[in-house]
Amino acid sequence: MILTIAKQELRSSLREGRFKMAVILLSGLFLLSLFGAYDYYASLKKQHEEAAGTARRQWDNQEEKNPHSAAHYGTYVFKPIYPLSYFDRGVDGFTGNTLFLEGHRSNQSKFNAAEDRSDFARLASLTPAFVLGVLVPLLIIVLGFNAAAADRENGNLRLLMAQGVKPSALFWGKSLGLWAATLSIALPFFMAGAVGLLASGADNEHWLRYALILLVYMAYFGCFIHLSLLVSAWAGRPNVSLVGALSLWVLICLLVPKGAVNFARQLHPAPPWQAYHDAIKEDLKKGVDGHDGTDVFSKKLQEETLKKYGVDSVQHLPFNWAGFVMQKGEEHETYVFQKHKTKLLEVYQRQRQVHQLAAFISPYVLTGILSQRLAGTDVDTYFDFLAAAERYRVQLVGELNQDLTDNFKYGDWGGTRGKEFFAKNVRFDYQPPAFNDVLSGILPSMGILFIWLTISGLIAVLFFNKMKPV
Amino acid sequence: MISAKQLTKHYSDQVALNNLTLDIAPGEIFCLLGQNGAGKTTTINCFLGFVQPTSGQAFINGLNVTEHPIESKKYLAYLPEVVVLYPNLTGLENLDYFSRIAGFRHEKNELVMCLEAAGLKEEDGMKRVSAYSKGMRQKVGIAIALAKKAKALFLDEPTSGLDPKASNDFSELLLELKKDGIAALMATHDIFRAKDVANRIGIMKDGRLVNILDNNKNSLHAKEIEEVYLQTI
Repeated sequence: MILTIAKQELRSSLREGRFKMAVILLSGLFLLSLFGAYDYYASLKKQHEEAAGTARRQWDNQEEKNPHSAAHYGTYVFKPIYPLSYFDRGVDGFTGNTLFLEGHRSNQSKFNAAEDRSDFARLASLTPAFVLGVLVPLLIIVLGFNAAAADRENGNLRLLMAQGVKPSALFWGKSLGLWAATLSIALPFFMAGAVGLLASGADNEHWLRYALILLVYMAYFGCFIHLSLLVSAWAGRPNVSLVGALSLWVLICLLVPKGAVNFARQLHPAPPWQAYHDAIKEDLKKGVDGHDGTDVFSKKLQEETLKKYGVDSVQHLPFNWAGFVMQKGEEHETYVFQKHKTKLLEVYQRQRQVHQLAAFISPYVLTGILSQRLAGTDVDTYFDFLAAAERYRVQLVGELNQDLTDNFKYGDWGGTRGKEFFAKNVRFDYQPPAFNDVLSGILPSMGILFIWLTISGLIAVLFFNKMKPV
Repeated sequence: MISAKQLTKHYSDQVALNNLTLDIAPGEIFCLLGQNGAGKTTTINCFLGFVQPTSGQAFINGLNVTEHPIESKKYLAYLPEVVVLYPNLTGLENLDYFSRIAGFRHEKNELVMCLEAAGLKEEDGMKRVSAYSKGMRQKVGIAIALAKKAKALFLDEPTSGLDPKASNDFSELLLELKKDGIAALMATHDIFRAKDVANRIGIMKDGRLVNILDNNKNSLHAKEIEEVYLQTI
């Protein structure tokens, strides 16, 4: 009986003009978004690879200079562009993928509010994830809103029940039919999406990631199938049902995601940019300045060092004082930047906790979190890259200062290093979060999504059972 | 076959059906007359299990409807006043769908026979229902009832809005079914139709079955029925 109802539901949908229209419209949008996103991804990836190579070549081939001057010369690092970022661009558009590394300061590519995810600006960008996350649910609602309500209003429900249909069978049949209709459009999308992976020659891990993303979207569609049936059975009249289902869509896909971000910012405001940098400046004054040497902290360090080595002037130290004090200054600076960055990250972390709470209300938020995490375009992956870049900066600058300390005479600012030295400097080799860690990290969110799917289904069955034919 | 024992339905402060006791044997057609709101539809709704009686019981083929909501449906067919069906399916597809819901998988020729028995031509059965007149949809409704081979038939003003010819065809079909031993309960406003087909005619008022006229030998005249009806209400 369930199959009969499902078949009927699908057949009815396929013969509806609005279904055909919606399919044509959605397919066009999806292909457009896929093409646009892939094109963007491919050119970005190419640019990045070129730029990353160029940056390192520039470093290797920089003109002869003092190692500390090289620290000021600086270099660029790039967050890798993952194959799936064309599918879900995530926060990449907000954060940028490029970071300038130099001595004395820890740059924060763009440590601004846009780092927090989800904005109306995001809604405006047509990506495959947008089509699947926002527009496909709309199609499901258009197909499902009168699944039960129309039958009830026009009396077919009475006829069906007189024929001995079980209300639960009606629910399962209708949801199965909606699934079939949804998949008839989603599966071609999924396959088209895979073409991008094929084209970029992704490895097995990324195919697995893609499969998981699809699983997430299927569960997400299931939530909307249940919701539209639930509302349809609850409302009992098609027009009420349509308004109800659309309201839920607005709530889940627009209001909650946007509201959660705003609410999180109000609840845990990040310090204003100016105040943040002033605070760093203040703290920087409270320690060794490698370039000054006249500040109290440098003098104190000098006294202690001279005493430790039992000499009366820095010239008699067994190492180059200039390099030593430069590294001490660097360590202080790193500590100050790290301290403030950690504080800021804590604020962001609290904001994101609020945001994650919103995922309980909105499967859209939940799906977004999961999809971005799997695509490697989420905030966590970005922060992981920032942390790795900072570790690399500390390492590189430390290496340069060490060379200055060990291999240069005091006062020898004219001494230089060339290609053979710089080419041997430590390289930035960023390893993105391991797939296993990503997987175990998303399990709770996956769990919530499937709980959402189950509970919405159970409530829908409940409403179908309660549905009165008169 | 169709039986009610002190069937009563209250809606908050209103009595929709009051203490109805009724037995309709196989091969018998019972017509319910009465004004709108007299309780005719409530009676049918109780038998179909759409309305839970406040007290009393309704039985189909000896099965208590409240206790056996699905099982009791196997023996009944229902024809509402307005048969809507699914407009983007053909008449035949609608018939097939509703038959499958009832658990029947009829061959196409069987379905066509049902349609034809209900008075619908085969080529009309191939058209989408959105192009049907009310009468044609009603005929598909009858075909759905026929295809189910029900023992108990519930008809809620089935001829309202039908043209005289269609209405007359319908009466003839009912008489056929009666011969085959079906038990039918029909709510109607159509005194002539009632006279033609009914073994008994009951007149309802304010939820009560206040008058039962015997028409077993088709002995009543429409005029008589009308007089009793007008006096009763």
